[in-house]
Amino acid sequence: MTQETAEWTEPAEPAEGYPEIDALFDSLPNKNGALIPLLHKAQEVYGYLSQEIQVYVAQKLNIPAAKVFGVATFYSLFNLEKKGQFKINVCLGTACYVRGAETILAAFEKELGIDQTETTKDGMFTLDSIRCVGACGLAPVVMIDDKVYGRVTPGDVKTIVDEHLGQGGQ
Amino acid sequence: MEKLTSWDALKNYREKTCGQTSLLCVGEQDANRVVLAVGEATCGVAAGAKKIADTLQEEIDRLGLKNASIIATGCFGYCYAEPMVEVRMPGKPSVYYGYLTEEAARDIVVKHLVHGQLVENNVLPVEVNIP
Amino acid sequence: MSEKAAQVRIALRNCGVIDPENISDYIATDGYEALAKALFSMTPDEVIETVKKSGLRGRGGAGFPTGIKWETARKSQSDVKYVLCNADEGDPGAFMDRSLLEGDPHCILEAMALCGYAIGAQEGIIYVRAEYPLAVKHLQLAIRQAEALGLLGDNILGGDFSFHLSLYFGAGAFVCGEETSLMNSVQGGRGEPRIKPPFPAVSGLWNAPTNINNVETYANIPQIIRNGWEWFRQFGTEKSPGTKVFALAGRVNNVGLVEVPMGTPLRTIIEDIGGGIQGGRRCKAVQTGGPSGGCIPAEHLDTPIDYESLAGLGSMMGSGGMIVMDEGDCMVGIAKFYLTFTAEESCGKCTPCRIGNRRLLEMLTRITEGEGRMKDLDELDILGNIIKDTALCGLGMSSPNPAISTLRFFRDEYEAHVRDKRCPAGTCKKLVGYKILEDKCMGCTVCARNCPVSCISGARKKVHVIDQKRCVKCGVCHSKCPFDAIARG
Repeated sequence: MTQETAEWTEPAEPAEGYPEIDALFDSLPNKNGALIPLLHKAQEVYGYLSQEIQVYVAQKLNIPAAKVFGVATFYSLFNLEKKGQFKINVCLGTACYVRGAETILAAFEKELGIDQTETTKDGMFTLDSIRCVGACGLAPVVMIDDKVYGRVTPGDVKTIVDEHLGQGGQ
Repeated sequence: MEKLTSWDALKNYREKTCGQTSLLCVGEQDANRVVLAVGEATCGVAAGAKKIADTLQEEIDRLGLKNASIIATGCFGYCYAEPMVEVRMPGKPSVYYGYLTEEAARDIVVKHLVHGQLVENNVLPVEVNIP
Repeated sequence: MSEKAAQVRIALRNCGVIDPENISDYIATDGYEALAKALFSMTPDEVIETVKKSGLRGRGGAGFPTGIKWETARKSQSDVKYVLCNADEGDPGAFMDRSLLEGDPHCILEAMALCGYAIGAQEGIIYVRAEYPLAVKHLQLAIRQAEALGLLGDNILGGDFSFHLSLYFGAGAFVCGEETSLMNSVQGGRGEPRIKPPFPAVSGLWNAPTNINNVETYANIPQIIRNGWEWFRQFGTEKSPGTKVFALAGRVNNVGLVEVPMGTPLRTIIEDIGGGIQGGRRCKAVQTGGPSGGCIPAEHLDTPIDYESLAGLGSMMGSGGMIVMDEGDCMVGIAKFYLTFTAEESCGKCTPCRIGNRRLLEMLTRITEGEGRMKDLDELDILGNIIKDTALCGLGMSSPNPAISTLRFFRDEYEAHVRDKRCPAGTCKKLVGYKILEDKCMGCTVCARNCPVSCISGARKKVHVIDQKRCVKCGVCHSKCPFDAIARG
């Protein structure tokens, strides 16, 4: 969960503004506890939490940037680095593990030529594992963005990747 | 929608809207209604439930079955048999079908809805007590 | 629906039955009737008394009596109080909360409003996993519909009671299932637990009295209020009334969600409802309670399930994950799997959990790689119990359970790993290898085509060879070979 290897370096000057973050901030009735919703929003819009965004959010909430960094690194859903266009998450929950999820992960690694947590050079795919998407009845499952693929076999992996290559680049 | 402002208003609303729900009410307005309830929770969708719902709808349209409608429900718990559909007809116990393919979905509309025959291969034994 | 059915659905009664996107469907199944009944015919104290008498206990795992929690929150004096719903279902292998939120969202809203009325709170927050997009969508829709009908918001059903609900999205941290961590997260901080007392019912979110229950616990509330506590007590056992939902998964034929009365034997769930083990094999163990629970060996399958009996077997109810395992599953490997999970999810605040679990994981890793020592087995047990006794929160206090329970019931399997450098189930990769038997291989290419890492080579109708350096020991070739020409050893 904690991204222990993440390092802090002085960020560039914050950009002129992040209108989506401002809009959400203005709409929140209660500014207490707004940090996590703002980070969710920033990641949804910009794909990841750059140091500029973290500093911006800190200024917005009038809290130390260290606190923002502490929260951003605590939760596994927050990315500090840019991810691929499609985020492939192989479920490694218990039900999937018992039904061979590790083999599926190995098949994706081979198909994409990257290891877990890496992104392909063309920026199309990021491969990672996830802890249970709650579709245990269909184990092993793979989640690509919001879509869940069930009863995946190593033979399906190429088809799934090709399907997305076809939609890529929009 | 108008706000309900009393307990009685809630009861009236319940009676008034029953015919617009996926549940069949006793009474004449529902004497001919058939409801196909497709499980479209995360697991059902991952198993292909949307495609099954589309196929059922196409077949219903093709045969012009005006009394049949399709609704999306949550998870019935029979994950192993997804995608699945429950056929509700007035005055009859529900029939549950599982392991659906597009072909089986078409069979259900033609055989079960039109001719009243079960599609035996896909019938699920469902033993659940809802007290 | 059969009268003698093993499944009795109270929490799941609407799941898969109603259209969750249509509030009229929920109302048609007597939805919001309990809320109306409470608001117009019961005092808050009567609501709490009913919940207390029902004997309902927390379905999130620990089994604390729900009515006592509510009563404590009611007695805490404060202008502002909160009702929280813990929908941060993080136990890998459990998905009943997802199903409930997706399939019957109004039931949770109604229960939280009832709780608000009972304890004197006007604001509720559902802390839901961001990984459940459909559940989030259905909850948002349900809240809008309920507000439009005056079933949530100001002056509910024209009365004096007002209750507002909102969602808060988790961001992927298992420890946030612990109530004080969850509240820190809602306050915008790192999800780290704190010492109790004070309990949330006295000082919780923003230091206000807060009642927090899990999704399945709330799902029982409307039925208890509507039908009365006597009705609820006809199900289950004296100490654990009602039903429990289990997410049945693993090597069983009929995986899915089942809801059974408390006291039902494990065997009924696995054999009657679950349809037995796949391929007609034998059940070896059942894992309950996820990373907080333990493995129950097959000889205890007739144990009636309730909070106390599972704890007696070194496991726990947990949120209701139930993973069935057969001879092909290595118990040391399973313990290592869970410890990998908890070591990664430990928030790092207290030393026993942060460092202790790391050491447990190292020992288990050594054992599965054939480097274990006999004294590791004793140390596992000693350290595991120290962590249980000294960790700060529920995560740490229960994290050694998978290791301690497998060691207790499957010590011979641990010893085989240590003494004979052998994994009886054949899944510990460092201890197994695959080899193609020259006299049996027909050169059919099935293994080569199925190998996920393409490490098998050989011409058609010629003996194939596995490149041992690249082999990931997944065993796919072994299971796919039509001629039994691949040996494991």
